Amino acid sequence: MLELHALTGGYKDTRIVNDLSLRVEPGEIVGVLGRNGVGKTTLLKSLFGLCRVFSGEVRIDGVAVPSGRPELLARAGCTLMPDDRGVFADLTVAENLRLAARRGYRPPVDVRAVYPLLDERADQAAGTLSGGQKQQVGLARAVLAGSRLIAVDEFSQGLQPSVVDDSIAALRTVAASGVAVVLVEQGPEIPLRFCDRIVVMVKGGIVLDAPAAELRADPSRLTDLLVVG
Amino acid sequence: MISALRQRVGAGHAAALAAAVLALAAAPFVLLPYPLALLTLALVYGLFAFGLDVAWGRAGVVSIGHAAFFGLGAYGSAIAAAHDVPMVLGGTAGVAAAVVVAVLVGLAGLGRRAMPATMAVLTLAMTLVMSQGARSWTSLTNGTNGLVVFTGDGVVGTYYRTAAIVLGTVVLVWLVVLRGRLGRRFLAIRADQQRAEHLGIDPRRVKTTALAVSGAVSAVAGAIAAPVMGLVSPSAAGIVLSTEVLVWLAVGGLGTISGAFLGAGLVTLGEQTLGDVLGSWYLLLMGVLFLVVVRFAPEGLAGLARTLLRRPVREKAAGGAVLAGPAGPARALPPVDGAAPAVSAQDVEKDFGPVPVIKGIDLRVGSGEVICLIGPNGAGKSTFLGVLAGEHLPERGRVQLAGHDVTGWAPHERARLGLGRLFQVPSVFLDLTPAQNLAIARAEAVQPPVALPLYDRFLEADAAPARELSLADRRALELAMVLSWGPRILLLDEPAAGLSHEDSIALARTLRDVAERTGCTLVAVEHDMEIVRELADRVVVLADGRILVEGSMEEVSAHDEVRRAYLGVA
Amino acid sequence: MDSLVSFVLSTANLFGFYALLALGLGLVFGQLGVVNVAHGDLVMVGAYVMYALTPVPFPLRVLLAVLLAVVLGLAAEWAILRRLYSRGMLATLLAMWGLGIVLRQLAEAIFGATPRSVEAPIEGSTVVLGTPFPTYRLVVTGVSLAVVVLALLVVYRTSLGLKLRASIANRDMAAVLGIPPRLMIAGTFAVGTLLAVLAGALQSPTLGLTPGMGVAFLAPAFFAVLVGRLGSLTGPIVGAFVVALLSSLLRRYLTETVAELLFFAALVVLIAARPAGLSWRLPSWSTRTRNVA
Repeated sequence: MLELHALTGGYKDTRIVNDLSLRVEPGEIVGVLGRNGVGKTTLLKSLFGLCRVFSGEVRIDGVAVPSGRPELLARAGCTLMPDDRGVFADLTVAENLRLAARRGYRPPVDVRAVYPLLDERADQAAGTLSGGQKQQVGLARAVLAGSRLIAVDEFSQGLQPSVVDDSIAALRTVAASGVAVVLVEQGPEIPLRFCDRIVVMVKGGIVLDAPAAELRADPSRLTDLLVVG
Repeated sequence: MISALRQRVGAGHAAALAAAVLALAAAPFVLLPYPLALLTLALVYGLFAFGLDVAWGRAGVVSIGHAAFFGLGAYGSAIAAAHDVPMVLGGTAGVAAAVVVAVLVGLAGLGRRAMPATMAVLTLAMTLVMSQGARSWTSLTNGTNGLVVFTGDGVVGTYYRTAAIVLGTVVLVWLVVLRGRLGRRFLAIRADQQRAEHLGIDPRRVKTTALAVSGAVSAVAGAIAAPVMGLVSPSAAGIVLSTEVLVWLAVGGLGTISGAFLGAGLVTLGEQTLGDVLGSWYLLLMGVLFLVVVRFAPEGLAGLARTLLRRPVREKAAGGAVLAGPAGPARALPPVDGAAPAVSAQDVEKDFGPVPVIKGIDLRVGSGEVICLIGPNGAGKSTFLGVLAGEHLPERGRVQLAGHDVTGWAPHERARLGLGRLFQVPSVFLDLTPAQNLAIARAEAVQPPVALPLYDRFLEADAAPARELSLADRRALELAMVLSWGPRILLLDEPAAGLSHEDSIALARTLRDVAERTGCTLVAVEHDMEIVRELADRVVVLADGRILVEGSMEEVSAHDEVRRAYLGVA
Repeated sequence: MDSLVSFVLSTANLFGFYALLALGLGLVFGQLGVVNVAHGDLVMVGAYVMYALTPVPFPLRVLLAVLLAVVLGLAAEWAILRRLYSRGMLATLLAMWGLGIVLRQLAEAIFGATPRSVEAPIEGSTVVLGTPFPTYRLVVTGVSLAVVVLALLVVYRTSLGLKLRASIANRDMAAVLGIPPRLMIAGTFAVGTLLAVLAGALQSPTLGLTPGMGVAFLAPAFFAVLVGRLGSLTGPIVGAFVVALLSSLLRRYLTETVAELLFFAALVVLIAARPAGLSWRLPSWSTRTRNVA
């Protein structure tokens, strides 16, 4: 469904993601891991053309998407929750959700049931929410807008464990209906628990790409790449 | 004295000056009275454009209402003439008034957080107020009719007097300001304000000075223009003239003396010859020309000439400033309380809007100590470094550097205590060559530089701007700059980000070496654990805006909470 | 009583005028990050369109001016601004000043420098609380304020306005949700141009038309935008009210020149005190940190 071909991206004249290729199939949940500064966020930004793309291609169903036009990807049903959550601070929670809703697409889960906060705080400006609450608005928006692909940066940041579990369940349901999910996480614990496949980045490239089940059996291969020292 | 003059004046400059003097002296023998009068006017307007260039072209301070200064000078002369007072006195008073206005406007509109738009609107307001004042204060200015200025000197006498003052003013400003310390600081601020501040340059003061010099030169132009124009009316301070001087300078080319005079000369001559045929369409043409220049050729005619003549990069980059300073430090470091810690933060808290980022950090770093700050994303490491450097002011708590309480100080004031700063994205003067970067750093140094092989290769790198260096080289250049500036304390934000493994290890060793040889205190934010191991005397782990643990690398990495913070394991 | 009523009415008239200007200036600044220093000259364009098309019925002339404004706005954004955004605020500012020069000189080349006037479509006065006030100025005040209210309704109550606000708050994220950024940018500039031209067209019968008339409006309009939080859309309206009240008050008690001088002195003080705008709302952390991660 989604294909990154030899993608090189970064900022101004600095290349951060280098010649990276990756395929994601419909319904697949891929976890992207790596230490700080290895280029995980830049990978997602290059995918959506939100930073400078030096070379390489992004293909949806085999068709290349012109670089620097995120709205075209959005119309194809792909969406991103960036690491700053991208919540529109001056807009209310309800308005944030309204912008994400797609005509003709109803996600298989009801986001308002998953995140009761969305109804409770519907008329509050999203900028006044706490970090964890903004995260929930961002995730809800991603579920509403992503009919083909949901990419989430820093999936669990600021979320309490019970909400993490609810979110995981929701994303699993969505993925089961054929939506591809790409998650970036700091720690390996959550991706090991629920991703189908795990990709580890070091210095802008992929150094490990393995089914999660395999890594669950032998987590040391993974943690060695992530832990302090 | 002589050596300082040698540094400022090259053989080429002396030759150019001699040629200018000869040409100006010869003009009355070649030209008929009407063209000579035109040339006189062109010289005056050229000086006005040169005045604007001091602010806009050299220091990057935009002014769209510069005729206000010109008008002050012109009215100074004219009012004096009308009251039978020597015109020199009136002109001088006009120049003094221009300096006062420039300083006031500069202090209001050139603060650290002000936008360029603020200056644009303030200077626009300035020209509107001046011309309105000239229209309505009829007892002094004779309102819209203006004041007639007649000297009886004749065309040739007026020409020689004007040419002498123009040449004298240009040479004086060039020699004293542009070729001196100020010229270098103008360039530093224009090239990269952030880097300049962290070298101890006060941006507001330097820019305000630029505006004041610029206003003074423009007022001098106005003062000598009064007898040349013969009539001083409110339009001498008005928006049309303000706009025209922008066009002259943009067309001629920013940052060059020849550009200012060329632009003013061509447009003025064009106006006299084509203006009769085209009428108002001529000014429309100038407007279009300005738009085209801004849009397609921001360097103007002088820039075009430079490209055609293939002048070396460094010449264009320096823009006529002398980058090397006198031998020895530019500023002496203030005395240090030997017992005080190099860096001390007490109870520091910092919020971004409603979001608390630093929730109370207490940290003391001894003189000569090397510490590394580590921690997961969003722990507040970079923000804390910014609080120490003065980029963010803390909500609560105190910051002390070398025994001075610097909590409310601006970055340049902290830099003058010997605080050096390296950024996540290396901050160097991108348009200057590496050698020029080092020259500025050395000229602004607070202590004599330490001999380090690290920057030898940059000293000769004078062919291409720093923009063309690789990221690793730019980072090395930034380090070389800051070290040759002589810091007492060094803050580094991810010095190894984007470097290859070998480069990062080499960098860590260099830093270690510097710390040991100079006694410089190092505070570094770093993710690469190998570097931290190589570098740190003490590791401080931040998580969620607080200090989680501190100690040696072994102690820290054995700590359960650190593993948890990094891995998110419950 | 008499003078109080006429003071209130003329302040309201001024408020309507500056609210249109400040709203356009604020929209363009919020969406494009461009300080449109040609904004005042667009007022002049509106006024001169009304003068040039005198035989055409007044309302139709206003409509034509508005259409011209949209074309002018789209063309200027496409031809001048589009490739300058990456060169920073100073480059776009100078380019807009260039546009202002061209507009002024074009007007002077076509219509000359002599002052012109536009006849009001409605003659006579209406008595308000015992005070006669020119009827046309009452109508214009009403229309201007209605347009401002309408614009605010569109911005805050329609889905187009929602997209616009989202795009101002975070253009990248809006694009990720399918809101085309280039369209929003060009559209916003066209709307900003439209509002300024409309203000000029409506007020033309009360103004003396000269090619340079517009520049005088720029500083007060910018002042109004600065009073509010930069990037907010209700801020400029509040700011316009402050400007209208301040300049009416100053002009009521002082001569034109002294009033102008004091007004600009207030501007200098405001800018020195709050270079990034006053904010009385909870400040929101809107500048996104671009971490290299």
